[in-house]
Amino acid sequence: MKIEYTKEWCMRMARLEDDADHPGEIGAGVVARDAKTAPVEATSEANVVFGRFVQLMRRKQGVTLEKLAEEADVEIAELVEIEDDSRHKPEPRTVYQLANHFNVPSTKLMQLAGLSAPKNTHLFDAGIRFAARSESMQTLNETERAALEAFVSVLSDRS
Amino acid sequence: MIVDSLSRCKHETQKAKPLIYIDYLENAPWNRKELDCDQARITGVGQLLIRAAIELSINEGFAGRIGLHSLPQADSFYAKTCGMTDLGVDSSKEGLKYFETTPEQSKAFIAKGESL
Repeated sequence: MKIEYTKEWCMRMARLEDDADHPGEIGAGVVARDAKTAPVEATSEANVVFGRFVQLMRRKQGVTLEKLAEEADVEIAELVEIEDDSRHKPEPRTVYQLANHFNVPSTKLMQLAGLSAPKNTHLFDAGIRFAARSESMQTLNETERAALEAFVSVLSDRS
Repeated sequence: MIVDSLSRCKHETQKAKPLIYIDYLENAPWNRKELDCDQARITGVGQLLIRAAIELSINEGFAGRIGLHSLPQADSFYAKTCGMTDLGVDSSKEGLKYFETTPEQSKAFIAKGESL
């Protein structure tokens, strides 16, 4: 079956939707009634878990941020924010792309990223445990030590 | 979107006539304004999908009759934007509201984009 829409029809209907100040939700059916239909209020709370998860998955795959951005088809600037800024709120598309790339359910990753409300506290609790256990205890390697010392000396420079 | 063609109308004037029932419909997260996207990438996706369901209904000989259970956040979209009839809460579907279109309503929906 072939459906033909004219460009004009699509544009008019899209404009109508915009004029109606429609929030964008069009979900139908019991299957659609999962956590991703319940957006969370904007929050400034830090979200350590999502960034830590992305970083560890990337390191597990042994790829750079640049390579991950390329493979998952996401913006490298946003990946940097996700890993380094625990208050960064990621774009839904980025989370969706990362979920596909890491082969994990996008609904759960959306919850982890703070973009949708979790159905229960199980995922949140597991995320906190994950963040606590994944904190690196590895001593610094030579490169990291040199970089840290160089940075400390800049910080200490009173001139 | 997932549809089935074995369901029957509940609307009083269309009672037991065949329709296309939309079992599942959703758009991508980046097209949803309420998910705090800076800007939805594409608007009007829902109406394109509803139009597709109507065309399928016509193609199947169901005269454009379609039905669906709307999520609470989408009730106004189906009632106002799509002009469907609200047939009330369906307790067998987790309390979601059931909406249907008559052939006339489907025609009116398509005409909305043609007559402006």
